[in-house]
Amino acid sequence: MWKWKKDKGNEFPKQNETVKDVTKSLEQSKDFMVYPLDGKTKCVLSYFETMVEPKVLNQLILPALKQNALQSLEEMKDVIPVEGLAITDDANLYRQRMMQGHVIIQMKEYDKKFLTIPAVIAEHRKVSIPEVEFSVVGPKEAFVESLDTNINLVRKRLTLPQLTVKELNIGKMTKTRVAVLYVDGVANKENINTVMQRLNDIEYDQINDSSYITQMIADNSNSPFPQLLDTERPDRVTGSLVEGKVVIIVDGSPHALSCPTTIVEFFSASDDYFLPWHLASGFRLIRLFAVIFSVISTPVYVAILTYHHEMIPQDLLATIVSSRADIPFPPILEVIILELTIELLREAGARLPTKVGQTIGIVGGIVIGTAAVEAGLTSNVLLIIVALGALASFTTPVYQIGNTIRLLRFPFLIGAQMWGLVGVSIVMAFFIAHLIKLKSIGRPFFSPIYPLRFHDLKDAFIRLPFNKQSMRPIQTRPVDSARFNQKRANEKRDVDE
Amino acid sequence: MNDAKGGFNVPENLMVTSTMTFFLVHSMQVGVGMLGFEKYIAEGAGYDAWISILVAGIAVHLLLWMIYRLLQDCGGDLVSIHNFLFGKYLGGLLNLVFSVYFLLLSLTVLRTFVEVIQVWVFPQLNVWLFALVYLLLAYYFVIGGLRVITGMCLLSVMLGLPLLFFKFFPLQIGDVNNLYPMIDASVSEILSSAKTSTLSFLGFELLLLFYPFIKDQKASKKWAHFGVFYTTMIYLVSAIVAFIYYNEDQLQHITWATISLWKIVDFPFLQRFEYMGIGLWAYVVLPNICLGLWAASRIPKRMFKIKQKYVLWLYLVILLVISSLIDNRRTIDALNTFTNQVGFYFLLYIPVLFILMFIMKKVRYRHGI
Amino acid sequence: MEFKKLSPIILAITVFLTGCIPHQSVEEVSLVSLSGCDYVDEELTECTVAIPHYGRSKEEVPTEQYLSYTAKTMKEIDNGLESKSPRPIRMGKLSVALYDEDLAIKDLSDIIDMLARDPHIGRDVQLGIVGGKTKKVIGTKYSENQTTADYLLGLVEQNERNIFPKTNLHRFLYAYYGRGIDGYLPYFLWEEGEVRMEGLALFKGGKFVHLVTNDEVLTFKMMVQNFNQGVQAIELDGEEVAMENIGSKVKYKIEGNKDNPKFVISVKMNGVISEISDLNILETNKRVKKIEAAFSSFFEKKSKNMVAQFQEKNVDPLGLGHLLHHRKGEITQEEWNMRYPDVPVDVQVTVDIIQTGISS
Repeated sequence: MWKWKKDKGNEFPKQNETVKDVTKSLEQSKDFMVYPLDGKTKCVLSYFETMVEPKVLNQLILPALKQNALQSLEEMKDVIPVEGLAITDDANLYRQRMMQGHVIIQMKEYDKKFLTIPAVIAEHRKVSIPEVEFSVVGPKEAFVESLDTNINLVRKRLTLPQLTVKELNIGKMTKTRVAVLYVDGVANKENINTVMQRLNDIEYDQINDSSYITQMIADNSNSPFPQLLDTERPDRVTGSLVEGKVVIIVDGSPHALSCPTTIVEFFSASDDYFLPWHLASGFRLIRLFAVIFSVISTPVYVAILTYHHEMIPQDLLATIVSSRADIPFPPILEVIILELTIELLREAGARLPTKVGQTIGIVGGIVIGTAAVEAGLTSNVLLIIVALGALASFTTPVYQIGNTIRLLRFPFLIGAQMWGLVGVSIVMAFFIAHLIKLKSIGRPFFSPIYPLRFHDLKDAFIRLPFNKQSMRPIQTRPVDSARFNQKRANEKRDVDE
Repeated sequence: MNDAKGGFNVPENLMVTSTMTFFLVHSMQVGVGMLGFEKYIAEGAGYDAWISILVAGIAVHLLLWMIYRLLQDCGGDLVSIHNFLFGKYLGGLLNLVFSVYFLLLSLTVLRTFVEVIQVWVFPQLNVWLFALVYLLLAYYFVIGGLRVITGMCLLSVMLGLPLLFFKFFPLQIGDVNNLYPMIDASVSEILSSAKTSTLSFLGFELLLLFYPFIKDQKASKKWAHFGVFYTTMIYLVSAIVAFIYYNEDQLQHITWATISLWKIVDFPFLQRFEYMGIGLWAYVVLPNICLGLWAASRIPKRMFKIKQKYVLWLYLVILLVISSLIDNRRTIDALNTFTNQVGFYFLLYIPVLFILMFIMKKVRYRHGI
Repeated sequence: MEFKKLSPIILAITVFLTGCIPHQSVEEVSLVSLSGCDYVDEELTECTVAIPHYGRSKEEVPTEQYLSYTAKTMKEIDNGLESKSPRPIRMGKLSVALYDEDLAIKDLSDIIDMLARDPHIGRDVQLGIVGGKTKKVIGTKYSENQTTADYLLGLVEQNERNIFPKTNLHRFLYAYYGRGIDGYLPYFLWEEGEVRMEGLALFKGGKFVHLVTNDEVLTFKMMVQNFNQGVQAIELDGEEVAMENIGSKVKYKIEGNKDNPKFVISVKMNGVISEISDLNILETNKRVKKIEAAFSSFFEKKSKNMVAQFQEKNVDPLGLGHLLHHRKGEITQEEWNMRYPDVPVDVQVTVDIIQTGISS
């Protein structure tokens, strides 16, 4: 976990400011408006022009003020037909509310006491179909950048009074709204406390996306593995909540985080729950195999071609040797060149607009690949292996782990070059050690493999039918662990009954 | 039993479940010895040596039972038993002997594994460098505590499973006649082979140290016995497969029978699985070294209240230096024989301890304590 | 502090830079696929190796390079071959190893020991004895689209699926080191650019002592292996009758005790008549019985004859001593050598003709 250096002296904003100080500092901005009203009611309105919805101001606030003769803020509060009004004299709140798009009314300029009227412009993207975690069957809603919409999407699916939403503001400058969701009575208190504690401890100045939170509250921030699962699907979030997980949604980010999570969860897609269990299990196994292949294939190629020639069967030998006949580089260099090329293409593709990206993919894949083989820079056997490996790394349902897998093979390559297959084994052992040690919000990340949890294995490498999943995952240590009564599900009828 | 109480309490979150005893016991027993034990056990009882494995297995079960009685009576670990029986100074000395012994186990396993790599894969291997990296790996595990090591034990058993499947290939072309005549060797021959196979079974005595880390200690007994049973079965199967595949005179020419067996494993996409097997064996060997180091460094921690980390560093350096200094086959063979002998006496020591404990309890009971 | 942070990286780089083992990638080494050793004189041996060179395109048939060197010891030969080759020579992919007759008669023990000791050599290497010089066998191009090694391997594998018993390095070592059992290897003959299998060479230890000719091979295989291939023709009542073996099983039994054993080899063979000039439907049953009896006695006579020859040469490819050792009690090699020539061996062959083909 990120160790925050507590440094109170450098607090921002400064303590002990008065409303006057704040106003003075805000006045430097061009879009800050101070607008004295001289009609029936005498008062001063101040707001950010760019933040306030003109409709609210013009159609609700101003008519109310102009039609009535109001002598105090309390009277205004009764008259103005907007909800969420408040009267305080807290200078900090003054600044904060101003920045959140409230209209603030004072009786006189620089008056201590003020009324805040929420009138923020609600501009955000419409709920659209998920792009990163698209699935052919199943719901097609994805989170958007608005926290309220996102919570609404979750609440719509989980109409449960126990669904609790806690909110806090994080980021010394951005003051981003972060919501923590959990189902009371299912989620473990300890998990909730850990999450809240860690969120409270964050002292960074800006939170621009949920991925900031992922990195800041991770148990081991030096790990290449993501320790919080991020998703853009509300149905996946509901699933996590019901399993007793804690979900973090950040305002301004279309990705929700759920924790504690395990490594196997990163390889399970929401499709797995929409398909019959045997098909889903089959696809999961294929995905798992793809990931192992993606990480191991090129290192094994290097190990065998560099050291263990005997392992190549006679029939394959001709293919491999003739494809490598004129290559001027040793296998390791050949592999690194090709792997880097693929990574380059991927990076370029990700940064470019969709249409150009596709073109680059085709140009890169076909033209560069063929040209490299033709020119004798790489062998076509390796080209196939690398391309398959790249393809396999795309099968991961969660984008983050795909990134991890992209880079994971490079240490393996070093191991393979040093000590052949033994080297691959040793690097693997390092990763195993790392994974065993890794925790997600204090819960073992490598579960259900270690600690071995047979119950959780029912929904890990394979997914057993729903009537076998009578228990919520032990991993999350849910308060209420039973989903349904397994005994009743097990009752079987005799013939002709 | 004040001494026993003078031990320590292991925090709940550092404990392992009783099921894990199976993996701890089993993975410490199966190590590098399994790659070539067939030749050595066949030296005594010939091809009846599979009986010796059963005999050794039964003996180990018996010893395991004694260890459990000892631990249950005393309630602590090896250090508290020693302190209880022999007092602070003699007990302390014995503790240190055990610490060195566990270190010796790690050394033997490490150096023999490096030797296997040197013989089979890389004759020009830079021994100290490989040992360094491997020990760093072990350090990374041990520093995580017993829980992390247990995780590796579990995974090493799982990753070792495909290697058992490879035994199927030599079975197809073996000759069962080799096993006849059954039970032809004399009792003394079988016992001498059983003694030779001790090295293969060494490691379960580590239970004396990790016992306090087990959550449900009563339930773990079953799992520990099951672990020993599984080990015995694996050795039995390996020995029988080797005996069927090679004839007796041929086996005497084969130092690493199990690795040689992998040579004939052949798939359309890969063949000569000994390279793969040795690669996978790195996982089987790792828990041995980790557990050995953990146990060896834990004893001083329990005795002197010094940080286990520092002892660990010291032991790592010792292992690194010694394994780099040993540089020929003969010394490694001698080391193995030596460890085998020492291990055998350490096993004999367990019944002694058991009897002493028994007497001590009687005496104390009589005196009304 | 800075050093502490950097130290893992420095360590990793050092390890990587110093840790690499001298290596050549697969196309930079000469992978020997075929080797042969010839007798030159009492001291010298000439070894030839074939190294395939794979071209860039896959369709191209690899060209083979042949290297020969004559020296006293295998070590010298290794060095000598190395000195002739532009790339390091690796024996790891050796698939066929041939030895000439004279060398085999002299002694192959040293070479066999060397093969057994080398960890890089597989256990499925095909060994073979050549009547004539191996250099010629290796140097000839037999096929347009196969290397010599592949060709020879194909030749052996094809025949071993048929009437030749299975052989490879492991099986030979098994017999070579085992007591009361002697090994056998296929025997090749090279004639005018063609190579063919000409029988089985039987070994006593590392020495070639007896040849089982091609017309005896089927009978030999019948005695050592269960199999379901091979055709045998005999003459019955003045006409050729051929039977195809579709399943034969062999069983060894020892009667008597360790000191006075009597071996009974019983073979049960199921066959199909594949070639006969006329088979009258009315008397089929009777004739089939007759044919069965004829085949049985043919095989029995032949195999007894062969066993007698083996005993005369004191070579035991059937592993009778091995069996005795395991079934009736310990016996040393010397003891067995003394007793083997006089041990009674009986062969009983039962032939069952279960089909007479689709036409009658």
